Amino acid sequence: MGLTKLTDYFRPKNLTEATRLLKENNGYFPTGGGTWLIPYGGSEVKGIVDLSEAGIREIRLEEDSMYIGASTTLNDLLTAPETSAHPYDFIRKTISSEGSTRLINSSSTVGGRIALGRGDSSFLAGLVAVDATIILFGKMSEDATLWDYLNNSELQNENHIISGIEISITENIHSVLFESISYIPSSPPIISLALYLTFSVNLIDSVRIVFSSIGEKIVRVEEAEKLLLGKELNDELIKNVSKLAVKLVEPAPDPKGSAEYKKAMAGLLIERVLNKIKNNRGGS
Amino acid sequence: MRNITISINGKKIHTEVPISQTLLDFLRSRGITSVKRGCESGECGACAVLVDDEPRASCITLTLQADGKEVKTIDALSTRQDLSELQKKFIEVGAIQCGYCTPALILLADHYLNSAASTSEKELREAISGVLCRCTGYVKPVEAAKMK
Repeated sequence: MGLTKLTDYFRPKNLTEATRLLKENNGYFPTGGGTWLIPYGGSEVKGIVDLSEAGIREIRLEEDSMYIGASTTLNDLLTAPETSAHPYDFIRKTISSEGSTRLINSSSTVGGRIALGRGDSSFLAGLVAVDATIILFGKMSEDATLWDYLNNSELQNENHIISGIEISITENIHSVLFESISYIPSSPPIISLALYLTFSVNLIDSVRIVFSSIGEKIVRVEEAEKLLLGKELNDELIKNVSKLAVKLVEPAPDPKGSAEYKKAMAGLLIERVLNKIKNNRGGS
Repeated sequence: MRNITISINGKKIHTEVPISQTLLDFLRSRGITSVKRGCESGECGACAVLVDDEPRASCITLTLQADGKEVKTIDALSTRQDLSELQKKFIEVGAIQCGYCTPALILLADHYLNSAASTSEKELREAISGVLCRCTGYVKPVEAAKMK
């Protein structure tokens, strides 16, 4: 274990107390399950504020949204009835695709996944694709989208606790799709794509294209999204978006695949997903 | 050091532990050596236990995280006189080779079989997937669990 300087541990019963502990003590870190912090936290961790009993382990389904508390474990999400069916079943698909085990998913939390912000998290890519809102406790300004949060290191370093996320389903969520390429179904993806797309009559009126496992961070291909907006989905457009995405993404090679391979697969995944949407709609 | 109250296999204990001690070290220091030391980073699962009926890798769990909770190891499955039905099946089928991961495999398989509303081989395999076994290829352990 890497926590050579750990001298304090608290398990507060609410977020106000947790925030106070973190604010008043340098070197204190919040944790949900500790699957990363305990083995890899290192000597900068002087104290641990364990959020497992701070009242944020909860999945709440409302009419057009879902709230997930930050201490909810990935196993909670994999087994909750709320995530068993459309439109929230993408949560199970993305978590399952990460190749982690039930043993670890029993401890890994939603808050931990967000705080780590790893580029190989299919789950995070799925949440970014549906434009999840991150709820920050102890921060004066408004809540942010998860995408903004992951790309704003200033915001990440402010004194706050990630208390949960909210997924609003106000539009036609028919087209949240997740596809990945891996050696075997249970191994972590070489590359994966989460794509959200809605139509207004026949024209695309919102879209988010999000890749994971191509770099240190989740990658959103906003220029390719712009190419789709306001257009009818057809074969030519799909080819053009795929080509543009291949041009735009700059994958980092890793032991699972070379940069060239990932680049090619980025285009293939986009084509595969957009074709699926087109075929589901009965397009030509 | 911190005072804790912890229940281990149904026995309540009040004791003092170092703040940075892992649950793995705590359990082994109390003679519960069925909980094995493997990777110490949560990858191999040889140290799996149940904390309040949830699977945990004890090598990446602080003892303090289990304060006030119920910890269960494979030792809770058998009595002094008799092994559990699942343990007997593991022996009968020959699901044990080097034996290092066996306590964790049996504990997680037992937890799955007793907590799932309905069982399937796919889910059973998922439930024990956190325990790396390089001897059996999981064929015999799965066969044993399915016989229970």
